[in-house]
Amino acid sequence: MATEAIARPIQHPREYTGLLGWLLTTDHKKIGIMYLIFTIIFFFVGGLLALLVRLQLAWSDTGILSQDQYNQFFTMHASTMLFLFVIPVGAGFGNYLLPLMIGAKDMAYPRINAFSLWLIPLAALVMFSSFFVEGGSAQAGWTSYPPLTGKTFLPGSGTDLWILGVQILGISSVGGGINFLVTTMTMRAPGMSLARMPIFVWMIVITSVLVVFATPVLAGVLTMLFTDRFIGTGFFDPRQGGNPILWQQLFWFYSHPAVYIMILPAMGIVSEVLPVFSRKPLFGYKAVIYAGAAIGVLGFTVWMHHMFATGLSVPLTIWTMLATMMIAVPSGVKMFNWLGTLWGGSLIFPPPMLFAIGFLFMFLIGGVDGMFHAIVPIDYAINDTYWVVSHIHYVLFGGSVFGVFAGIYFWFPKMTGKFLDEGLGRLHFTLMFIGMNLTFMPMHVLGLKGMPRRIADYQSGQGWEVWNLIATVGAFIIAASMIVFIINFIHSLRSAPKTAGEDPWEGNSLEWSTSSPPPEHNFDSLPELHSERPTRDARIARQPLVPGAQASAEH
Amino acid sequence: MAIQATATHGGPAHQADESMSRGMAGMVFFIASEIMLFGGLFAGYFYVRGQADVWPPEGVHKLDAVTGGILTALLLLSGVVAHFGVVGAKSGKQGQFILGMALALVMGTVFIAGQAYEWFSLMDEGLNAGSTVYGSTFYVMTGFHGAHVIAGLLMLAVVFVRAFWRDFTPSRHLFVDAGVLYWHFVDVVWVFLYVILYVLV
Repeated sequence: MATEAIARPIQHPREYTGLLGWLLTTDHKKIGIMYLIFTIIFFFVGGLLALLVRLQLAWSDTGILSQDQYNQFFTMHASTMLFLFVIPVGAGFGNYLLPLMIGAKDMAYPRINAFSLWLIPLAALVMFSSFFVEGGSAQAGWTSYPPLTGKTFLPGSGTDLWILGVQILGISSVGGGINFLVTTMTMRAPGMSLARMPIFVWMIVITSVLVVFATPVLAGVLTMLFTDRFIGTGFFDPRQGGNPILWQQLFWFYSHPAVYIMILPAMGIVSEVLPVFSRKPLFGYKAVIYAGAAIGVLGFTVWMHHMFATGLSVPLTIWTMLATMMIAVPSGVKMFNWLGTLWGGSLIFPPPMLFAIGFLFMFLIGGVDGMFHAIVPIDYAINDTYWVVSHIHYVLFGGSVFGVFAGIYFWFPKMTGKFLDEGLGRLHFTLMFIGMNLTFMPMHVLGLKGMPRRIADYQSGQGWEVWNLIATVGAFIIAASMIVFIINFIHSLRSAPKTAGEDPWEGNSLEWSTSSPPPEHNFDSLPELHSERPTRDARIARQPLVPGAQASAEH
Repeated sequence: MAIQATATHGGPAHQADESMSRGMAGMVFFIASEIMLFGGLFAGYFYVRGQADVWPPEGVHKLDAVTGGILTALLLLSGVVAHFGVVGAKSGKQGQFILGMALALVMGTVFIAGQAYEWFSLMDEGLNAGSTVYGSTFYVMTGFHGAHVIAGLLMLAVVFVRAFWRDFTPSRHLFVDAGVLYWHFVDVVWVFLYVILYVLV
């Protein structure tokens, strides 16, 4: 079988080495790794803020933080985790993996890609600088509802810097989303039809559609908030004929699809990891794709379930309730696809598999306790209590973050040629799994006992202290697990031997057919592809897809 | 390694073929996201308008649909001449290409000047962005659109200058196509803005 060289030019005018090689690169792999490093740093920053919040709430009347500090820290915790960690970390994996998985040399627009990356630290500087301005950082929660965010109540520039930072991140996201879509449309290797793309690529594509169509609405509504604050427009001010509910409508029109932007890449990662360590094909490849697409489409119709308490009309309420419950159907389909993949497989449990299975458990709990919010009468009772906090952390921490760590342990050997230490990885997983459940499970109880979210302090004698203390202990166990991870990461990077080879896990998708780390152009040549598991097919046929890829590795 | 070295300086002919569709795809997705941006603004407009008892509020000067109509016609005409220029670029008629771009640039600039003039005269008459939400929607929506017109004019200006440098050939004119497509988008959005802000009140 003749091999066909892919003679796509890469648009690198000059090669730099050392630090400049990273700062000026347009190589999707280096950009992807920098995305991951930046976002994980922000994950740690957001985590430290969370620890302070948990310390303050550990018992009634602790007095560790002032109310202003508390408001700033919980707002910046959420803003950091959502806008600077969960959303861009998906783009980081996408950047590194998507071109490799479809057999391309790079992204469609390498320079726009670098631009999208460098906007992220810029936005972080803008957002974090707000801690040092008069009045402190943004402090109205990550949802920043007016009229609280109006000039009357928050005259300081912290809110303005927050708006600016989120706008910059929106530009970064849209640039990245367009890049992923065009890359997938125009740069697939011969034989890589849409129905042969890895699930991860599909999930990045669906995520990108959501990014491209939802993020601009956020840009519009943030601009309205900005002009309300600066030139006195009245979009959210009833005295001028505006309405604060308008903010909620437009904000959630973005931010509900955004929760799928946050979870779909993690679902893609899990869909790659589970088949490899079950030694089976993914159960229902097409069903997973259709379910992902259905989640994407339905995700645009249910934003008002964040607004049941604002007094929507009855037909809107009922429609939103039904549509929200409908989303559980494709999510359930995926859950059964994953279970079907495990069923009867020859399971092995290295760290990526542990995190992927952790994802299944945690995401299931998050999905089920979210359904209570979908049911309007129950939502009236538990709206804005700690039940919400528990729900979003089960889906975002238990879901997205477990998926992210599954991905890190899974692809670290591809990125570096080295394994992360397996024993430390198991310790990391165990601590994180225990800590996560200790932190967020008691919040269900707190929610049912009526503890409102976003309060800086509470009176004793309501039966809240013990549950809060357990949650705080859990938060510090999570922190301990992160220390284990950092030790593992640095230790493995510095002193682990390069033993990974091309295909350390006996993988399925194309990235396992090139060296670890891959050369700058990814593949010397690729044959016409015939299935959605090209690397596995070649391994079974004992005919490597890319002859001598190991020898051509650069390092 | 050898492949990498050659790939770095890929042949221009080869690149042209592929980047053609790639570049246009990017512009199409970008315009799609821009449509959502204006969609959000329109949704906000209808939301506040729908809850108002009187629209525009009493005592507020009504917008002049005739002046606005003339500007609208001008902007639409600029789209036509820009298309005329693209046809010239595709068929290698350099004169037609440059003439079309020049006319489109002039018309677009006149549109922006007219818009600015209208802003200032409305402010003189007392319609401010801060007075009522009616003024807020008017200035923010036309302001957003004006910023997009200026972006479109910059693209047309780059096309115009590069046309002088003879950077484009009948087979190689991606930037022309993409820039003019964006210009058409800006025109079409204005038609919707004109209809809801000037006519249907």
